[in-house]
Amino acid sequence: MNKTININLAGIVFHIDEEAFDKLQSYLDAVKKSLKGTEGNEEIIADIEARIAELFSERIKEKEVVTKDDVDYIIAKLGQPDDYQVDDSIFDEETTGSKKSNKTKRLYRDTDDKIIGGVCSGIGHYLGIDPVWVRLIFIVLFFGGFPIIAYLILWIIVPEAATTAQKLEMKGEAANLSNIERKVKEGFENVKKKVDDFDLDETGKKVKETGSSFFGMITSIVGSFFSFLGKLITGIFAFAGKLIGVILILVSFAVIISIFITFITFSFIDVNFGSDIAPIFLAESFVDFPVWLSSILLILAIGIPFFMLMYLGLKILIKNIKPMSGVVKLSLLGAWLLSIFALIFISINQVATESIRVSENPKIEQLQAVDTLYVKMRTSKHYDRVDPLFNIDHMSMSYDQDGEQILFSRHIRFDVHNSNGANPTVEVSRTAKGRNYKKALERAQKIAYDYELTSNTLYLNNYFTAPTDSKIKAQEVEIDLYLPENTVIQLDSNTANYISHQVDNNMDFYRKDMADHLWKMSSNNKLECLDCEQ
Amino acid sequence: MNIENTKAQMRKGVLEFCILSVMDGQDKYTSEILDALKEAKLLVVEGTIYPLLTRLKNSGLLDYRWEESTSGPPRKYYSLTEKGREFTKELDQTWNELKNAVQKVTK
Repeated sequence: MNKTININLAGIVFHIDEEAFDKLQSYLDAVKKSLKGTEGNEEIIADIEARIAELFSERIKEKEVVTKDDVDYIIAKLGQPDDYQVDDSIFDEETTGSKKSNKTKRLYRDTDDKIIGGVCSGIGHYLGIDPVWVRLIFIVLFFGGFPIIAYLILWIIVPEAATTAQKLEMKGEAANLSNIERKVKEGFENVKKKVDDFDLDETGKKVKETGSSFFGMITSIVGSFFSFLGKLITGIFAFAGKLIGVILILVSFAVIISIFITFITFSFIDVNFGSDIAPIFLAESFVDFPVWLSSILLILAIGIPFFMLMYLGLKILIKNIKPMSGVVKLSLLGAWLLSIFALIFISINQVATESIRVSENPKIEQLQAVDTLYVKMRTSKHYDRVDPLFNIDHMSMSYDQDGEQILFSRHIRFDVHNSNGANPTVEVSRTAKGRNYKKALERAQKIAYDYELTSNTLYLNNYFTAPTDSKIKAQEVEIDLYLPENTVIQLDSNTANYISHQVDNNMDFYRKDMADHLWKMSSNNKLECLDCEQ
Repeated sequence: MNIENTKAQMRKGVLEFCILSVMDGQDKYTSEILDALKEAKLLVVEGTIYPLLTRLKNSGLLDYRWEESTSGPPRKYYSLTEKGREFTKELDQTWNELKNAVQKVTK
């Protein structure tokens, strides 16, 4: 069963089967190309179409459909595309180089003369220069890095001159039957010549012949030097090509393997052991989407390009590697684009969940008016046993007293201010980010933080916790101490890591340097050191 | 030197003259011109004729008119113009001279 197509030739409709249609179309395209630049070519094409219509009508009479045989008959009768070209010498005064443009060159990769992918020799043919020069330019520019990318791109997009017609087109010769025949013969002769070239005596004789005069000798020396140079460059390229192939394979293989190892540790272990590994737990607490989904997307986004690079490397090293089918290529591209878009979406969503930062109203507690206030951090024996290895945004994972998972952080800062005559107070505020005000506030209120106040000592917990469903959204606890003028404050050595960078002092100490000293609140909101060496 | 090429060149050289001669005295449409030339073995494939006809027409040696056909597309009937007739006459003369010259040389 064959599909038929309706065509209109010179106003007459023909049913033509698909195969015949393809053949006829490519024939007419070739004729058009051959006549390109010829005067009145559109009229000529119309005449040819009319003639084809006439011949079809003669042949079709009894049957309904134009078949491949009919098209073959037409082509035999009308001739090869190049037969349409008129010898311009007949029309001397009318033609000015219109024929030259018929023989359009096309850029192909010359795989007969290739070192890596035949890109350079293809460019050489296209520009009409020796490929060696193109290679030389590529080598000189090689150190800029750009030609590597350019080469790879050209390699991918420039088609290989696979058929004889394409090889002729590449070298700028019109593709007609006699040229193709000549080319094939040339090919045989080349092989024969290569075999003959191994004849050393012949080479020696040649050198002797050319070396008979002084000038000839110079020429032959220079010639052999250049041919040596050419071979050297060719050799370097062949080596570089193989090296690039090996590097491509090794690098992309390493990347792909490490992606898979990461995937396994992040996902399968998680599945089997129930979120017991801190990194995966943290990742789950951080990302709003399931981690397995994000990791699959990441694998695709990173893995596909590296897989393609590996394939490229393999193609360099192994000549007969199977080409990837269009379907495979397209689905890889589709999967890659999809994963990229999904990752972008997840990232945007991630940013959106941190769009607002909210502090709840601080808890204010009056302190007893004392001459000297001691500030100490209170550690937890329970949480100190767990030493978090990983953290995201100061937040890590731990277990509460009942062994349940919990978010755990030491992101606590305290600041000291002048109370401007009022009684001393301590204000504790909890902060978190969220998609909107309400969510951020709720999250801030879920932070569990504790401190203790005795007559002259403030014990601040050096950690806070949050339930796991809170997720990690920049939670922190800030403690503000308001002290009247002349109150002395003793910062214990263990407060070193929790002092805010905003605490103003006359020593210009920064954060942890302030610990382990006695400070007096001055009138200008500055702490003055009482026991520092001036 | 390729013998086929030389033959083709020779044929191409006289092709215009022959096309014009076929039409002398009688209007012909493309297929008739083709048949005449093929019968005389001046033409191997038809392709060559179309650009030639267009050129001859464009240089004012030929004119054409359309005529409906009962069995196919409309036919393009070519006729010699006054200029074409002059041209053909002159070529005819040149051909005779050439023929004599060639005969003399090849004898």
